[in-house]
Amino acid sequence: MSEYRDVPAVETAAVSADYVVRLSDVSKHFGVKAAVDHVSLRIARGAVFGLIGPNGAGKTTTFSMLAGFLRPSGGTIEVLGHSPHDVAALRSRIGVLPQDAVLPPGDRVGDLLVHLACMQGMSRERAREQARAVLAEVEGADWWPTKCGALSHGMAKRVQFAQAMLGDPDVVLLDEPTAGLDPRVAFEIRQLIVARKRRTTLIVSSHNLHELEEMCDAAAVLDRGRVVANGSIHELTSAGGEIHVDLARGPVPLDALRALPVADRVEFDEERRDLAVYFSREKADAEAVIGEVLAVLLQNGARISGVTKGRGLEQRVMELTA
Amino acid sequence: MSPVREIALLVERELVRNVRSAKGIILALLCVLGGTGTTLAGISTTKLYGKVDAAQVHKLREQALSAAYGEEIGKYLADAPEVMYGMMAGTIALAALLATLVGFDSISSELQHRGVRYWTVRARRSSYIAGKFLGLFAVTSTMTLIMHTCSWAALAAKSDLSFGVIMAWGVRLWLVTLPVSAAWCGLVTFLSALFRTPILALLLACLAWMALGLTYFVGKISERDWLTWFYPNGFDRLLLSPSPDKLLGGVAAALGFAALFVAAGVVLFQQRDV
Repeated sequence: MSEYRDVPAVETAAVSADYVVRLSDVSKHFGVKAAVDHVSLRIARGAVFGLIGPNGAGKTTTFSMLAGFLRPSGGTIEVLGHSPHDVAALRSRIGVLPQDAVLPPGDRVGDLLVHLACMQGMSRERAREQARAVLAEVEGADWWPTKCGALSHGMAKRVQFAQAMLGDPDVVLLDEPTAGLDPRVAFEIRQLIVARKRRTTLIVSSHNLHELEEMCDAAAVLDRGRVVANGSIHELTSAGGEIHVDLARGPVPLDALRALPVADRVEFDEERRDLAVYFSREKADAEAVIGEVLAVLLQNGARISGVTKGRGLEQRVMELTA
Repeated sequence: MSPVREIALLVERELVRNVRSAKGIILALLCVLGGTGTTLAGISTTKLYGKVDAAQVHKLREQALSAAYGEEIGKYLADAPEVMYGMMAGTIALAALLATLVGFDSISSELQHRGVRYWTVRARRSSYIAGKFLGLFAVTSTMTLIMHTCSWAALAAKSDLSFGVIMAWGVRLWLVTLPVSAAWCGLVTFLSALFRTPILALLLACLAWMALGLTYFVGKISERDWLTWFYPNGFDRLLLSPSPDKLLGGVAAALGFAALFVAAGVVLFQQRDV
């Protein structure tokens, strides 16, 4: 069931109270259709922030407004204290990997990166150094003389990623950074993103929820143009009031668990060996429930493989956007 | 970074991009062949009436040019070698086509494939349009210079004209083509920024210069002079004048035409979603 409620702007990462991106009551209409509907968000400096939602949720539209590609129909957007259209102020401070922007096929990779770095205000010599550095970072040092039109999808994606990182910008917007990449390269891109945590604010729009859960400090879940949930990954995943225990083969004391006063409901998936304990967050916090549940399990000889608090991000998003 | 620097970088890229593209190479080759071929054909033709009295030929030429441009320009241009005049007239006639072929996709294809997004985060949108316009103008000017240089070389090798005469008239007549070329580049830049589909930009550019040409023709035959000012090729009646005032007026008219469309392109591009 979807939760259609206006979510107040909250601090989305406990990194700093210094917000680098602010959206206030932002809307975007295409004709009569509202692609983004009164969205408010604040993103703290140094955070890795995810934009999550199904197709048509408004992720890419929000992303495109942050990057200055689209003008909002209403509301205000600030990136590093400036309008996204203030190129003179934001040049070299913001890097963007647009999802579906094709690299100019006739340009050579090296020349294009040097040109783009020069457009950010670098001298030609520094631009060349920077271009080589970012290309090496995506393991594309050999592609310098290759025409962009001759790159495979994965190679082009990495060049697109490289251009977004030119000049080590303060804010980087990444739209589907690993889409279409093989698992190894996708892993490497994720590592590059995580390596920039704290020194760069990264805003990542993606369908890959496992990836976002792994990388992000905070996220906003969008559905049909509105923010349906917004907070740290911890807040998003633990909002349900449940814990999960992975159990190895052995006894499962379901009756004893169901007798616990803190447990509202207990379910056990035999096949996956997943024990789910649901509780009311008003009555107890997750840590207290974990303590009581583990005590019962250990007393009854259960073999515990792992414990997780709340739900996976994927499950939570499914609930929010159903 | 100043807008001037942004524009300079964009112009540089346009030049490099066109030099390396198949389209740019083919058009440059056509310019070489066209410049050399038409000049050699022109030299052969002028040799056919070589035995006719030169003064008589000069008088006939003066009369024909006076009918086209007025007495002042007719007298002045009658001294120009026919082949060089023909090269200039051909360049002006083809300026719209050349600007269209080189520039119809310069912005529209980047809008279509959203490659423009790599630039809009790095350059002011006004600089982007101005850079595209000046880049297109630089490319078309270079191509016409190649064509004229080939013509000058052919004349130096195959005609009796002295090097001094070739260069004096050659450079002057090539320079006359530049403002006309700039005007068409302005129109093509605007149309390229108007559409996401390059083929639409191409079709509309062709339609635009045909419509403007028709307007000029209607203006001429109906003696409504104001109609002729919508067609940049018609500015040659000022640009070819030996009078500096008229020459400057022609330059101003052509650059005004270009500036109008570039400004419209900037306004449009600043408002649009990319």
